[in-house]
Amino acid sequence: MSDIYFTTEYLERYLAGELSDTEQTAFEKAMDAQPKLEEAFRRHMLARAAVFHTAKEEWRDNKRQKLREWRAEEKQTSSVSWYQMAAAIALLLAIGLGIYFLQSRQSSPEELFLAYYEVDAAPNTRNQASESELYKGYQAFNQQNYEEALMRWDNIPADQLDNFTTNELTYYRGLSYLELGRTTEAIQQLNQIQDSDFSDRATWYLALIWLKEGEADRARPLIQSLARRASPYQSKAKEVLKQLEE
Amino acid sequence: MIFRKSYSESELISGLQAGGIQRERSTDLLIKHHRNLISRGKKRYGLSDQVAEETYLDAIMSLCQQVELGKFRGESRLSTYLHRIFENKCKNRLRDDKEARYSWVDDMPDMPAKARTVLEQLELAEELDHAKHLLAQLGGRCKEILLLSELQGYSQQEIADQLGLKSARVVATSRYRCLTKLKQAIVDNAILFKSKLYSKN
Repeated sequence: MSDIYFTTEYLERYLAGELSDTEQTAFEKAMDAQPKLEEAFRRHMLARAAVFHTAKEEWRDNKRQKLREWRAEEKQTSSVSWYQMAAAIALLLAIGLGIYFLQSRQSSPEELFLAYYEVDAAPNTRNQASESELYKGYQAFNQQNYEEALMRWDNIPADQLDNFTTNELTYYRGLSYLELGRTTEAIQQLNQIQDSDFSDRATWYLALIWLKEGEADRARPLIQSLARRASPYQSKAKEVLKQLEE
Repeated sequence: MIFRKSYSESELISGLQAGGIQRERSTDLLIKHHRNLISRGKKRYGLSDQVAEETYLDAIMSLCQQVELGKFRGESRLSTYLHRIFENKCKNRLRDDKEARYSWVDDMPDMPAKARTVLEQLELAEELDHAKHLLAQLGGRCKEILLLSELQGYSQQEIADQLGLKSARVVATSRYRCLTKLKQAIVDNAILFKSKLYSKN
């Protein structure tokens, strides 16, 4: 085994992904075969973790201090004489009432998305099936490891699943893409299940996606259709519709 | 909203990707302009003042790292992306302690899967606190180089300029030397720990 494996520089190159595939494989095999090397590596990871944690805490303290300074600045600039306050109130009162009705009653599409968006949890079951790629993917999804979830589901042959499960999987793929910010792919997935048992859910999330994109006109017909029919989303759809139409 | 931000999102993203001082300025702008999320964390998730503030800053840190690494693809607005990260972090804080303990591993830079597994396996509570204490004892220059290299995305040349070192190469070799020094301190203090992490090599 090469002594170079034990050096800080080599370990750092490994962590930074600077080794070739062959070098990385050889190094990892050496770690599996030699307890002393694995020990040295674990020690190195502890040192890195200590540096990272300390850096993060100092960064956070620094930013927390800045937040306090900004709050203090706001308080200072807001302490004006009562004359100025009276004048400001008089001027703003006339404007403020009008803005109040507009601003508080009319939420932007994006604000509606933020107010109503919640990720639907994937099935969580403990039985024989829980070792399958399908349920491992659901586990990864519930742990917000969306890239892993998608990768596991890609391993499932298309003909292995019944119709219901295929549609369920398409739904959660859509949500995974949405969480990853891959909106186009999310829309593609959800559009595929508009006529399935997941139709209501797909319609709801499609509507939310359009709200997120600022496309209220595309969201509206979807929300109207949900508001008209009995489903778990009917009351929320009615609320959103009311706010869109005000 | 009546008052609009005085910066453009594309300027922010460029600043974050530039690293170093520009990244720090862009980060401060982000923190300042979205700090209303702290109230959201308190009202919606029942977080305390301190926890809501911590969670908000963690969300900012995650966002900055994702922009820096090119993981933010611009398919949504930066503010929407930040909201989503923040909401997820709030939910994580409400989950059980074990999962919350490991959440910081995801904030670390990208590394091979094996390295990530080691981090998750380490008994972090005691060993990490001791290692952090040893880092604090390392001495000013070593600690500075290690910390500046870790989070802020400063280039080695920027660190050299900030610390008055000759060149970027000096920073790189100093960083390796300081990490080695920290690891040696961990070994030298082996009597404090029960884990076989710390037997002499």
